[in-house]
Amino acid sequence: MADLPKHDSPGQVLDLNLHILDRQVLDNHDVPIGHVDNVEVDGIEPGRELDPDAPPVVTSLVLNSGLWPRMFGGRPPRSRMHLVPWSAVSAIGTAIELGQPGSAFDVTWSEHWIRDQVIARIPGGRHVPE
Amino acid sequence: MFLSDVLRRPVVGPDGPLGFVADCRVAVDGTPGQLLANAQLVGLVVAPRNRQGFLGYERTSVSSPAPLAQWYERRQRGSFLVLWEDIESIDDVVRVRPGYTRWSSAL
Amino acid sequence: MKRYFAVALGILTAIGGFVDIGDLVTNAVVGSRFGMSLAWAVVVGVVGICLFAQMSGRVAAISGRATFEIIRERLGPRAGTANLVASLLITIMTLTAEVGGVALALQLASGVQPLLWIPVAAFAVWLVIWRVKFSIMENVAGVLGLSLVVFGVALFLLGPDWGELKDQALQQTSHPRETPLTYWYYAIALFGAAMTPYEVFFFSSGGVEERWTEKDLVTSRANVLVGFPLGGLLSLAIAGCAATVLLPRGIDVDALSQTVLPVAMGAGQLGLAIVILGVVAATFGAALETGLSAGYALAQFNGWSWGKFRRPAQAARFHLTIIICLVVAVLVLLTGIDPILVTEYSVVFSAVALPLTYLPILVVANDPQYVGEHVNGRLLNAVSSVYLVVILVAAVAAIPLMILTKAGA
Repeated sequence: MADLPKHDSPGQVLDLNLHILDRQVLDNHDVPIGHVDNVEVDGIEPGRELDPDAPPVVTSLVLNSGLWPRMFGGRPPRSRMHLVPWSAVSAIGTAIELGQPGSAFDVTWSEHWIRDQVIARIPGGRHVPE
Repeated sequence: MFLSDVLRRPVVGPDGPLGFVADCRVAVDGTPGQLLANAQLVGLVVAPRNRQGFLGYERTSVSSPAPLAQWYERRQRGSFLVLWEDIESIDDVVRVRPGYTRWSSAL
Repeated sequence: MKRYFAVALGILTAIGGFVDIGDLVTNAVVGSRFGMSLAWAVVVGVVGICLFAQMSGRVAAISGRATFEIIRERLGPRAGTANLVASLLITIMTLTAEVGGVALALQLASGVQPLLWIPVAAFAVWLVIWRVKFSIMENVAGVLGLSLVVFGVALFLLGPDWGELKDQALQQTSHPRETPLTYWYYAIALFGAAMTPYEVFFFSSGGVEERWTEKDLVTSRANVLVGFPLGGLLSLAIAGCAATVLLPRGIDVDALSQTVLPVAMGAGQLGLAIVILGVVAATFGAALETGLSAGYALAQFNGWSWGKFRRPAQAARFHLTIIICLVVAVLVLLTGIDPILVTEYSVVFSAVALPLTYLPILVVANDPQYVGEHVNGRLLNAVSSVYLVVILVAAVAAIPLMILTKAGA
């Protein structure tokens, strides 16, 4: 199949499964905030005939929404997903970099909860190791 | 719609089954947004068999270490790219328009 | 000058940090039962860990991605989760064994029951992880662990029949008391003891902790390629001591006291004091590494904030993971289980879990997106591919051999 013609698209070409899913997501200070579990795409209505002149665009990345559906299929309802809008993404390489601090996204709630309820209460928890 | 609703769905052409959706190809280009331009769908990568995971050997130019790369290339032989304009509808199955073109799935 | 110092310090800590409870116990057991006839398995394991650590260190230095981020990205959710569960279990098992080892060594020094030392040791491990800077932690533990060199000194002072040891190593015949199955079972145990997965999680995450860049590649390569083989030599000295003293007397190793007995015989009271210091430092250092590795693995897999270079409050789930793992280790040890037994199982299970960790790193070390121009060369790829087969065979054979030999009994 090596003789198939090659299609060239302008800009950075990415395969969502290959380059986006399961990649580490970093905030604007390079702090890890999650992994990509799913991608939301706008402009496809199931079953309807598609418009060849209006290709869909990626609207959001879905972070840490549970490994169970990833392993066994299905997906949680949209309201229970941690969404990061595509407009917040600043670069895609070996990790996906965001242009905002992690606290701007609700996926970090468990980090903040454990910090406030447990770690910060232990003496020395707010100090840099020496 | 989510990526997980499309991945691994069967793909049907005018003359019968073509394979399964292995990936969605997008291109980041066009009007620059706040940080990164929109990611527009280019098309779907169709593979003859429904298999997961090629350790990243799929469609890239990485070809070493040779025994591993050859093993995985053999397992995914026959995959191709269908452009968005050739896709008729997406539901439980993906339908491809008559007269569609098979493009190379290589990146 | 500063650069040479950094290289020398790195090599010293790599030697001191190489030996942990797994190497101490397995090498002594093997030496006392098979002489030096399994020395080749240590060599195979050391070359393997050099390859593996070198690749994962290079990936971490250039891409900034540590091992478990790569595992998640390349293996995907199913195989990735399987690997996470297996690796976490083995790392917690090893952590349990190391904390138990610290307690046993402190018992040798003080005569106080190990059960009393266990909570103290675990608390000290946590305190160091909580408060001490990464580089200081690594260097102090590594340099103190160097006192295990006394095994080599003791071997010389014991004045063994070198020709006999050499013959054992070259002929690879198993001892008349042993069967071929136990011989191969212990070959895999030695391989697993040298190539423990946590060492790679720790090494690559350590590279990120110390903010390695392309410039540090030479240093990291020297640490691995000089430090680990010298650490392997230390392992062989432990086996040699056991082969010289314990094998002829028919003494089986089932406690730490037997591991250090040859040192006491060869190098006297002073030697004994030094070796106990070395065992405490080595097991304590390894307890730090395994505790951190459990945190690294879970945090990197889930994309949580991690690392000792951050304040604990900025890596809350990472630190909570470590605390929970330490509590689990203490609870397991307080049931009175023998740490030596835990060690013997953990090294064999390490061999089982290796392929799923090794494979993604081998692939990514060939991917220019991650390592730029520093992709594996042809020779390295050839050797690494052979090792992939070795690792697969060891992983497949480990459990059947464990059942057939009743865990080497």
